[in-house]
Amino acid sequence: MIFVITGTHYQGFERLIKKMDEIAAKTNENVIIQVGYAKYKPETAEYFDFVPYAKIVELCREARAVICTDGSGSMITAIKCGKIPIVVPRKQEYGEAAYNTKSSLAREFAKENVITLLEDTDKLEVELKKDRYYVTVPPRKDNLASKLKEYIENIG
Amino acid sequence: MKVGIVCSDGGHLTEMLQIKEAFEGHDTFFITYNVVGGGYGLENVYLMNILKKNPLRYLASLPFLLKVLLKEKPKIIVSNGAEIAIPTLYLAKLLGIKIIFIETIARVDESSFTGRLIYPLANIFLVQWPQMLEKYGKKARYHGRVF
Repeated sequence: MIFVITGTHYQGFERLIKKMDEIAAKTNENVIIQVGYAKYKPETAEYFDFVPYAKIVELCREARAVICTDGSGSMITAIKCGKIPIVVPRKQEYGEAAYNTKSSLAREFAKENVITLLEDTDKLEVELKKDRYYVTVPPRKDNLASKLKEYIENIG
Repeated sequence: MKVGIVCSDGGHLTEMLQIKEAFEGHDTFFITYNVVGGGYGLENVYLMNILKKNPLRYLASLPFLLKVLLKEKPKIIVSNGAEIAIPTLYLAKLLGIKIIFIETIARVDESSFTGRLIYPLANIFLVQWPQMLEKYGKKARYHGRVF
């Protein structure tokens, strides 16, 4: 199953949804799209607007590949579920974003090779066939949580 | 100990959920936005209207925030922004509550509006990228990221 997350931004991400719906029509694989506020509704792919966060996590784990926007929440969720998400940044010129971000976080993650940054949706179909989207990779474990715990305990 | 967790919904809240083990063993409550903040299955959560960069809305949110803080009486508030942190943490400072601020992981090489306003108040100020240390000052510390 391929899971597509467009997030909670108030502008729809029709360009990505349409492309993934097209791909869904050509493959036997199940494509599930979280469409958010987009007006366009997929014809072939399964879709829903919003679900509780726990369900997003469950779908990310089940999926063999995750496609999402350059929002930090979506990227982090996919990476923590052991996926290498294909990240398609929203663009202001297509009415998908309030402004063009520099995608700084996505570019840092791409350097670390924990995501794939893909601007051109026409390349999605080929990209999705690569081996790296069929594997689960354990996310790195950082120590911020344990340091924060220490701070909380020692601050009083 | 009572710990308040204050952040916008979406990416900020998702980040906080990655480090939830830091709060284990403490009583916690959340203050977040009512946009999709209700969809995270949080316990003991207070939802408020989105603030954006509108100082009038910051002022208008103060009675609600005061009520919550007086009721919950946290010893510490942990926040990673965004604007929701501004009225909440200034009020918290006046009430003698300790402040831990974590700059969001999305800030790789530029300080945030919220971060700059909160930096002088924070007891502990954490960034998630080493190159961010120089964007703030001596108080800023780096101990890795939320994952």
